[in-house]
Amino acid sequence: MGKSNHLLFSIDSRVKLLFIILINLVVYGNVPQFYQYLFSVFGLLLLLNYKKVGFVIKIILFYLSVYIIGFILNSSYLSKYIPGIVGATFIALSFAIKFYFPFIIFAYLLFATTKISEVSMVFGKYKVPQFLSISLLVLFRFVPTITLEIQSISKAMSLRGLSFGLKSLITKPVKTIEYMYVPLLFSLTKIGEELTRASLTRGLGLYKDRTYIGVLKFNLFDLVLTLMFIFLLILSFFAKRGVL
Amino acid sequence: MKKLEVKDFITIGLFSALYLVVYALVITILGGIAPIIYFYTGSVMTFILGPVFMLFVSRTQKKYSVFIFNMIVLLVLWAMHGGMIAVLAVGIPLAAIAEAFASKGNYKNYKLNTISYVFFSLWAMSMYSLLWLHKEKMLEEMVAYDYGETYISSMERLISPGVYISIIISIIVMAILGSLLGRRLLKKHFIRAGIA
Repeated sequence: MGKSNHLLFSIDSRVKLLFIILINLVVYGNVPQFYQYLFSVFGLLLLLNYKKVGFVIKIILFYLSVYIIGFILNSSYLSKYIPGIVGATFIALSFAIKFYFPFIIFAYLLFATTKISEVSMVFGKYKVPQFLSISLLVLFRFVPTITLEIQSISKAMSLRGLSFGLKSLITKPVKTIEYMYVPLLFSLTKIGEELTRASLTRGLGLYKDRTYIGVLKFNLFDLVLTLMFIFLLILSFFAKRGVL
Repeated sequence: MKKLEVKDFITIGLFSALYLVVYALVITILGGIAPIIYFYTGSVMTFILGPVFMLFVSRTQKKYSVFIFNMIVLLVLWAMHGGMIAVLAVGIPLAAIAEAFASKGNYKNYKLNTISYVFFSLWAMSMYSLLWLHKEKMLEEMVAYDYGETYISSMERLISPGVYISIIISIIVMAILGSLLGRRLLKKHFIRAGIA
């Protein structure tokens, strides 16, 4: 199975998906700030379990920097120099980041720690229709490829004096977009045709169940984590009602 | 009209991957430098992604292709935004409308495709829903932390229905411009090369 990517336990990808759905209740349910922090810490601990120390440090620093900006704007001294609408936009942005914070953590947990083979196994087990499973698997497979394509196109274009940055996007938007898309879309259609032939040869279009080598198991840790999450959720909703 | 095949699912996957990569790229370019246009990143992105949609429509031309394309993009965006349910709740009905318009013209009518693209990209307005939903809480917190009169009053002006409507209108205008650009690129390059 290769090198393991976790420290103590691995989390079932279905549990991660469940977390992402339930976290909506936390953010839209407007639970007290303290409980939102509890959920964020919960997510960060799970990320530490997956050895994502760099991301954890980065996101905590990011969050602190938002607080510092808010703190600076807070002093009424500055409001004489910064126009109200600019300051308000900054503040609105800092609030947005604050609201999204639990979202970002759990989304990263799902995307960065789940293997494609695992996703494909889940699709196979629940007999997800082909239009969803094939499209999503192709999508995840090709995101890195397209990123590489864009990088190499932008290198080639910068050699000719056109860079894909904010400046050229403002000064000559149409030209920038055109010079990025034309090579990209050409190579993409070629990739698509090749991939279609390759996968049809391997029998992707057949209406028969595929077999998988890996195992998909809902183990004790998954159960404990799910129960903990639901317990926190119930606790936070009691706190919102003022019972606690 | 033919039904969708494996070949079309692969095309859908490729184009949604392209959509999401460009989306992420635009967000990092714009969001990192100028937070003041944060509310309008959705509309800028809509303009830039116009050619992707136009080429996709002209390449597949099959029933439900637009709907499935939109749904795949929305599903991944939904997970990328950490499961923000508003993306799906707003996006899926709009996707159905987009499909209806595109299929009415057999995916060949340029004007109907443009309208379809407008509905396709209107999901972007759901990105900012959190700020508007939590407005009261934010203002309370700003009073509690003593942010000063000017900021509180300008915040009240910023998070207002007017700004939200301006976001929606800018998305619609940019979608029309984006599909114009897409049309131009199709004519100039792709139809001539025989891949559109």
